[in-house]
Amino acid sequence: MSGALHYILRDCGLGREQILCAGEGEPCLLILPPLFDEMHKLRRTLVMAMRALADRGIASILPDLPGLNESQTPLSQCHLSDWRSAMRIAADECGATHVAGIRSACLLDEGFFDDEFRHLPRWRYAPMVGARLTTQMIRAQMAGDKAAGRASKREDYEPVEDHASIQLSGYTISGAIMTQLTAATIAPLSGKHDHLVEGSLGPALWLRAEPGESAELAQALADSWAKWMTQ
Amino acid sequence: MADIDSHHIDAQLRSLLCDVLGLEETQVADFDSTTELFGALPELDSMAVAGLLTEMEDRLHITIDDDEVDGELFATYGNLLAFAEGKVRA
Repeated sequence: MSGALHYILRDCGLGREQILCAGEGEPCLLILPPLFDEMHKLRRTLVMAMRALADRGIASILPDLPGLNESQTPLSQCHLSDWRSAMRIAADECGATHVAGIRSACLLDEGFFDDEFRHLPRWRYAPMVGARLTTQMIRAQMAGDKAAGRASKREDYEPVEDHASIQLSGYTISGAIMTQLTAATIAPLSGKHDHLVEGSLGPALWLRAEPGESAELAQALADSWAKWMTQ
Repeated sequence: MADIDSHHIDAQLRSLLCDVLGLEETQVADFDSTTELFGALPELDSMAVAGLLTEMEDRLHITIDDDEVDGELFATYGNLLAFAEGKVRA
């Protein structure tokens, strides 16, 4: 029987956020949500992977980031530090023992390896730096502008001041978070139990305009997580 | 870069067209320099172009300026390959 999914609501710093949960007990994997469009492209397959992981007897959670998915928090008020902090709170609330990130989600795992917080082992797949994410969003926006018959330049979407909001590929974000994301790098993994996936686990759905879902990727993710978490 | 030959760039381009557009490897393997891309492949829309550019930069270690991107670039596979080779060798 596939693991049943349920939602809980928890205060994650800027307001109550929805956390999707599968399975119970320890170990428990916190799946960091990829950012913006990458989340839409991966969400369905990530949920399939959560069910597959529950079938292997391992619990997992997938929290909303403040301002994204079902969150009621205004996105334009969110900073990168709020997102990282929300993930730490969600991990504590749900008793997460491990942290996994795919693509832009890896930008959120930094807070799980510092002196102020208990260290959780981190797992990464295809991590990307923030500058690539913002470049991609600007290009998508410019493609949309062109299709709508509007000429635009990259400079039109570069942050001018922290408080001025920017409309970028369907999201209203602050200049501040745009600057923070563009500067965000992937810190090297340094923990003894940290793991970087080498090679491919399946189709790169996050790149596709029409990603659909992939049972192959979902099973490969669950296999990789289960092996890493129980070793 | 002497270690990156035409064959390598060609293979990288075909691989990223598979990944970004979700095309079958066999379909992409049949592409030649005259194969039409933009306007001929339903998977290749303007959003996919944005993704292709970013992925080309990453895999080929190049930088593409927005003013280098015009309608001709994605017209045929030959145009795209010539552009990529020019950028890698620049």
